[in-house]
Amino acid sequence: MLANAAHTVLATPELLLLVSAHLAPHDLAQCLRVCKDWSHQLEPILWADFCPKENKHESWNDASMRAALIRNLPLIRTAKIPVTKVFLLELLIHDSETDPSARCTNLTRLEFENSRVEIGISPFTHFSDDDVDLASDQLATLLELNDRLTHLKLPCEFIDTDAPLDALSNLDHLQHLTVVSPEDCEGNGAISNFLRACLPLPRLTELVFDLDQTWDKHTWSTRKLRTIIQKASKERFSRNPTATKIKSLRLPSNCYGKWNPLPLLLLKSNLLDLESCEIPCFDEATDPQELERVVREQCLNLKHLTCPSLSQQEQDGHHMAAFLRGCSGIQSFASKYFCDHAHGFEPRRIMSTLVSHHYKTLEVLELMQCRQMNSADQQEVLSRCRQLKRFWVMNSLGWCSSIGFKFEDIWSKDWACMELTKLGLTLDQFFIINPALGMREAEEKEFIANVARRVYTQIGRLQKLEVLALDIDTSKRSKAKPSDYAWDLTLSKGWLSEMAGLRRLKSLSQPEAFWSKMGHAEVEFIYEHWPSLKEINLQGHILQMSAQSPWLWLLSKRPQLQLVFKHAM
Amino acid sequence: MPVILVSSDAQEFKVDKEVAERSILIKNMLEDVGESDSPIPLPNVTAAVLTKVIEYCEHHRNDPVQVPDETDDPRKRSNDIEEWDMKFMQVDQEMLFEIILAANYLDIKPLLDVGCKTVANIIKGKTPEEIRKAFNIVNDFTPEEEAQIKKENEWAEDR
Repeated sequence: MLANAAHTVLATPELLLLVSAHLAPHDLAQCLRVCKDWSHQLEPILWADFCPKENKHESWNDASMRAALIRNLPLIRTAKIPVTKVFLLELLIHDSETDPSARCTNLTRLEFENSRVEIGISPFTHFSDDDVDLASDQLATLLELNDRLTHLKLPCEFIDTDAPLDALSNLDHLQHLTVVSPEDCEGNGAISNFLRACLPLPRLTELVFDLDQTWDKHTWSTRKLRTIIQKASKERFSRNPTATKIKSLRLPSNCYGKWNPLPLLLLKSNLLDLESCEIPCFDEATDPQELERVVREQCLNLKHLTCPSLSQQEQDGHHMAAFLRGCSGIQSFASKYFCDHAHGFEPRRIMSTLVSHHYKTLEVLELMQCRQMNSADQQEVLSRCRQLKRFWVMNSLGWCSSIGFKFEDIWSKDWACMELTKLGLTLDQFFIINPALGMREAEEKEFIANVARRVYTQIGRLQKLEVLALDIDTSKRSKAKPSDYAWDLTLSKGWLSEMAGLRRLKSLSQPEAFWSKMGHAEVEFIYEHWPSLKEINLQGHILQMSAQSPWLWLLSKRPQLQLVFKHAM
Repeated sequence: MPVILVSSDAQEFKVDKEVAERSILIKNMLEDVGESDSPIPLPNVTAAVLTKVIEYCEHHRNDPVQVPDETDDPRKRSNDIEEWDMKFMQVDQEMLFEIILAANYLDIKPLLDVGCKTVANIIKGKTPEEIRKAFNIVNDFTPEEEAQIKKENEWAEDR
């Protein structure tokens, strides 16, 4: 009956499973309805990853849906539950009473998804206290049933009560633990109890408090915290002599200046062997020199840093710089809304410390929605960091950012970052010529043209570059006139030909000002010189697609080429 | 030293040992036999398919050996087929499945993987009826049974 190869492959369970491994739940659900054989083979695959969507309103009151979930409980390995559907906990802990093997006991990953965290609304707003208590008890039961969990992500409402924390404290296999909150958590009792439960877990390697808001209601008790940490250190290794240490950490922040002994106490303990972390928030009483010493002694393997939210950066530059000085070889530094304020006598503390201490090892600098970054510092990064692979200083929101990279800085020194594969630059639209040079207008023009050529030559030398995004910083500078050379990537006037060497370029993203000047000659140039180009990002610009459009011609030559209209971050 | 492979339809292919050893089956055979220049019969692979498979192995002769990573979620990387592989896989459907069978038999994991990804990409976005049509599969459900399954898995339906 199975005459051809297609039927042989699709009727061989192991091969069908290999194919299904590349399908998302939606496509798997379609496959289940193809034929009985597929239904039988693929049902366990679909249910292994149980992830109902938050914005979909399936009717869980329906008997056959409930029955299907209960029937498949033992198959579920990953459960991602939107917080708005916590009522599913009741079904997940369903006990058939006659058959213990029919329960949900094979979870390795349990995550409560909550997209609304981002807009700061608690999904529990509409829940009564009783609802939360009930859900907490159900969660506790689920955790008790699944003591082999390795990944757990919880909303902070669940750590307010004892039952889930008791269950949590027995998860000896837990490796990754995340607490998410849309708003302030009440009091500090919860977090102390939570730390008491999770810090002794012998396999815990990642602990993340994903709390964007500050916890300003906190007053920490140093004595209490110290006891918790000391006990945890002992217990962790007595429970399992081969216990691992925490390698990745993000602590809750609180308002700067508030007493917060937690980060320093943890850093001094033997619970951490950090490889990546968010720079914690220290209170103002912390002595920067002591901090630097502690980091130097305790964070020997720390390679990857993220920088906390904006308000923290502005207030806590001293401690961040001390932290950076203590580290011994940072490879990546990432931040959203980064803002390197110029503070009186010590301008641009964070970036200049990063470069001067870590230029030999820095591979990644990614500042999404960057608010402020000094131009000379950007030049320092690119001209000193030989290992640099990704450099990204962009802001697609456009509000109040000051991240322009000045032409006069770019051409001051050759870049050293020949390994760069991803480059996102925001060019300054102004060009200032020293009036002391006394140039006439024609000389000025030629001078600017030469500088611009140097700038694009710098970019063109980056032979490994795969992703290039250019933007223009539009904030004003005094005593300066805009120079339209900044956004002239053409052949006749601008500097496209300087970038002919970017043969590995896969993606090019630029604002309208660049695209609108490009015509036939430029498109043909792109076709000829950039054979790997797969994506053109128009950053919201719409190309004129008349029948003669050079872009249509390019698309016909390169059918794989994607036009993207969204902004690069 | 070259190795001689013989297809099911008795065609001989002379390939470099390094290329032939992309197939774990052949690699193990060569290790078992030791130094020998006798041809290796591959009774499950036709000349047409073997030509394609050798083309793949030639192109990937210098690739590092894949280390399976258990934490790696295949669902997250299903689209990333290399450009060369993508072009290589632009064959008629019968050949695509023949390649998958050959890769499975010869134990060439990366080729099997690319083949399965290509099939998955054909399935993506299609309705059950379109999938049946694409692969010539007979629907053995009653409409009621199919509706029942749709209801049971409603949480996964739609994107």
